[in-house]
Amino acid sequence: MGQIVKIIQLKGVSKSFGDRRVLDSLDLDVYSGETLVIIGRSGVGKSTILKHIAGLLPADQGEIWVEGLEVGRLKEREMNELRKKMGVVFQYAALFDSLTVFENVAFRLLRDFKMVEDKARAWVKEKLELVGLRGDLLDLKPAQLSGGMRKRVGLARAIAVDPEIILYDEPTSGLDPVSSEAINDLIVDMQKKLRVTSVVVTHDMHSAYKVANRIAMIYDGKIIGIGTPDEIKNSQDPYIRQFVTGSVEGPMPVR
Amino acid sequence: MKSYIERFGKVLSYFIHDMGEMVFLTLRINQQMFVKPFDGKLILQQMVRIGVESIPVAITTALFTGMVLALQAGYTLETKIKGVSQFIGSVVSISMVRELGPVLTAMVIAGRNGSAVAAEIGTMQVTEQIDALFTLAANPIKYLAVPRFLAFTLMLPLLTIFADIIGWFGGLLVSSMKFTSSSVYIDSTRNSLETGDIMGGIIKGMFFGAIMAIVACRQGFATTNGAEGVGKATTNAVVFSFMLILISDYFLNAVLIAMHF
Repeated sequence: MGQIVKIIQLKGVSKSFGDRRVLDSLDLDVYSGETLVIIGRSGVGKSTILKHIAGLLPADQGEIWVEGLEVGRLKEREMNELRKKMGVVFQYAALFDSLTVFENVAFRLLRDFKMVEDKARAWVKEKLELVGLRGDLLDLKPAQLSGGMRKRVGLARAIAVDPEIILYDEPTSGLDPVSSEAINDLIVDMQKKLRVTSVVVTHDMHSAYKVANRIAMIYDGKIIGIGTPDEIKNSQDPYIRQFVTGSVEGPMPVR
Repeated sequence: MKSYIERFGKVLSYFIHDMGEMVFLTLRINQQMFVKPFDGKLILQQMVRIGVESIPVAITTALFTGMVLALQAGYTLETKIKGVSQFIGSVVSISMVRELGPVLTAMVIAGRNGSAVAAEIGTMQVTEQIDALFTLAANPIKYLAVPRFLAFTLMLPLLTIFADIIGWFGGLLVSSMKFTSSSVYIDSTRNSLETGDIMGGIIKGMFFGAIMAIVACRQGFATTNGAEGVGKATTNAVVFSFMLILISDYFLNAVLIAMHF
């Protein structure tokens, strides 16, 4: 990575749910074109970070900057403009049950961009092929698809408008090893083919090592370590060691 | 004693909070209604679901209500007040058109469609589909609540008119079989029923439609805790709709009567 542009910045972001403080003045930079993986135990606020970046959840304190715009200060129309550059892949795909695969993937094309149906179908087929799905799924409902296929359709929907940033929430959770590996390949592919910046939230270390340029470990509301996969793998930090080796012994209590 | 007061206070504060949220939702729906794009297809889809697909249950409800009304009115007028069964037509038509047509139709639709809307939006909420709508630049209030609000508010008056006619016809059936001739029933209706009676009922239907739409959407959007939460949202949508329909019915009647409807 030659040029270093900070495309996403979190500055002193705090967030509490009730009495539980999830993020505690957290700072994080994501560089243009990189894949940053955020690791950490369940419930430590990994997904909350993604929701802040996507503008789905306001932070209690701090600033979130995406492509030079402060997310918290944008009006709905401005936020929607920014969202054209951002694709979000949800943990359970979050496909719209009442719509077909085509209508799901083409959602923005039809609604915002007023693309004619024939053109949209060709466009959607192309995106489905990109995520390794055949074009004949177009008229199926999400309920007729397997978990892995649904995730791919979710990814196709996220990349439908050629985003510059893709946010992945637990992309491999609940998938069999083969499907997980296919999703990992896809994430790497997206970065290579589309030159997107990706933020991936996961606790699957195999996946993290495979897709990441950098890995950030979050614990107790803060980033406690950030570095290349090798740096994280060989880290001497007791918390990071415990997490990446998946050990019960260590400073993190097993709740 | 103190704990009862505390609990009452808690329930009251939830109630006030809920009402406030619903007022807020109503304002947001009305604001989003005029934002482009105009979702004609979605509105039509909801109108079919709420209006057309509810016709069988609306018919059954109205028909039997009209029949029961005629039976009760006939019995009362003939055996209790004695010999005034020629007024069955006016009793049935006025009760049906002013009160039972709009209220019972609203109850049935709240049970049938209000619950469905709460369950659908609630499921979308707990499966992150609402978040997904945001990320795809579709405001969920606009995409989900506005079409449902419009469909409920437009279809309830139509279903009310429908129920009025069917109920009146049910009354005619029973009355002509058991009490008076059909021409007496029709004359009695003609002599007492006024346009204002019908209009009042239709206006009430519109209000009830708006109320159940707001209640159902609010319960759906506020859903948390997975499948259990969806169940709770669905139950709440029906219970709150019933309560608010009955309570507002009294006040709407008071206003309508004051306005000579």
